[in-house]
Amino acid sequence: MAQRERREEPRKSPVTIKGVRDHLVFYLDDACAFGDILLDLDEKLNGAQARLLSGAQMDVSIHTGSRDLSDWERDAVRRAVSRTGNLLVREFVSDSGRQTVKYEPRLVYGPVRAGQVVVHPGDLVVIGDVNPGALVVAEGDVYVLGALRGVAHAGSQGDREAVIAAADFRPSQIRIADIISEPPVDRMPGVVYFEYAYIDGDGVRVDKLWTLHGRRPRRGAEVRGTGGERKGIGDARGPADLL
Amino acid sequence: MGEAVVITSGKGGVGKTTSTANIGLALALMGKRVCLVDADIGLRNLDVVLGLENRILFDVVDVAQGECRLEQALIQDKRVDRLSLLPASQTKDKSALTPDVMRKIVGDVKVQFEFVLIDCPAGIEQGFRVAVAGADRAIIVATPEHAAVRDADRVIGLLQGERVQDTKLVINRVRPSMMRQGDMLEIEEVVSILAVDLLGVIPDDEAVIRGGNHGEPVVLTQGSKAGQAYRNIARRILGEPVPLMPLEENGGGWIGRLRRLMGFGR
Repeated sequence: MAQRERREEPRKSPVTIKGVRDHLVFYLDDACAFGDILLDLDEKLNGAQARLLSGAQMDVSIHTGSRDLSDWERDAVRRAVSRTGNLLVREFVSDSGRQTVKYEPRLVYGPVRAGQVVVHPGDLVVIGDVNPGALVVAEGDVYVLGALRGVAHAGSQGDREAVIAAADFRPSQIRIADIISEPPVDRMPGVVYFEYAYIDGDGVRVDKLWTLHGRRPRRGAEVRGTGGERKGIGDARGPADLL
Repeated sequence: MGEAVVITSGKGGVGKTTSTANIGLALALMGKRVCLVDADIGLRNLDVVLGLENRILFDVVDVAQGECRLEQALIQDKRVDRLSLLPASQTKDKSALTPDVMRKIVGDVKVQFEFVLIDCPAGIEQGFRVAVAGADRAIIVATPEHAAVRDADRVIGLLQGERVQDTKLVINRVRPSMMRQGDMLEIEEVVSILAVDLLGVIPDDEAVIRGGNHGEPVVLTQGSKAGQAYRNIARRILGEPVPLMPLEENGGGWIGRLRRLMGFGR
């Protein structure tokens, strides 16, 4: 029934989905209202045919034709797509250009237990432990504000500058980009430092966290200013706000 | 209306059935009306540990399939009449029950008893999902070994998914001398990994094996440390702030740390 109705309708639907090699392209009709696009997107992602799109992790490219989306509109589209759990918006393409999506750091409250998996396309912060048998994966850095006893993978899309840090660093295995490493065996007992693992040459090394910014100065912003200017630190949302 | 507590572990052989029998019996000895439900369909054990094997006529699968009424399947304990057992089936397998049916049965049992303890099978498949279906709370049994702790951790995660939020931990078969030498995971470390409240620590005790073989749970054995530990767990379930007992005469410094973990003896 539904198909016949669609065929009789001369207009194309607000959202058209096509598979291209290893990813999906969502064409958003630039002639219809944005509200209709959201409605149709919701129908396609959660409606009767949603099962066609479920399953494996899949990157999504959003093509908007002559329409340029506002930040708010982009957010709405991204949220609608990410609710599926396996689809991830990578870029917005319009006639005026291409914009890659950058994901905010994500906070996860632990413990992440055995058998549980956390995946995030940006930096990942776990507040609590990552237990043996658990897996955390981030395209950016992984920071564990607790004990890292399970497996962590940073820079999962190939970023070799990504790091894995933990307040109590004793992972069962670490992976950064394409390099897999078992943890160093010769751990000093006693004092526990906040440590991180990074790629050095072809191997993975572990060092204390305060050396991170010196090793990777281009990433993130430093806290500047004299003591007096740091009063507002409680309200700041990130290092950039302190500048 | 009573409350249903599932006793589970993920890993097999860590003492779920023994703990179910002993905690249940201890609660009954303290005057509570208790029903033990054996959810390990096909591998029926709880009746043996309790010494009630010869009295079984019907089982939980018969109740589920309407072959008998619930009252007909319940077996009263020969020592404490406040304790009853709903036995598992020996002939059927775990596919004989569904979570919905189990939820209904446990709900019916809860009407008549103050505590319903459900003995969960090992594993995390259908049998596990059936056993936890009707539970309000959970007790996790783990031995101080990496394998047991990891499985317990997995199960706690799954229980949260099944909306059983109140989970407490029993550490079983503890050997203080091995812990002191660093050959066994420390209690502190187990609690730190699993991040749930500690309900009790059971020392490794030959009396447990002896009791299991004679159908006399160890809580009935005076002078047994494991029996005392199970009685303490029952008192804690009833809300008494019982401190952890020293497992050795010269109880080392870790007992004090343990008490702090549980919030006692600051």
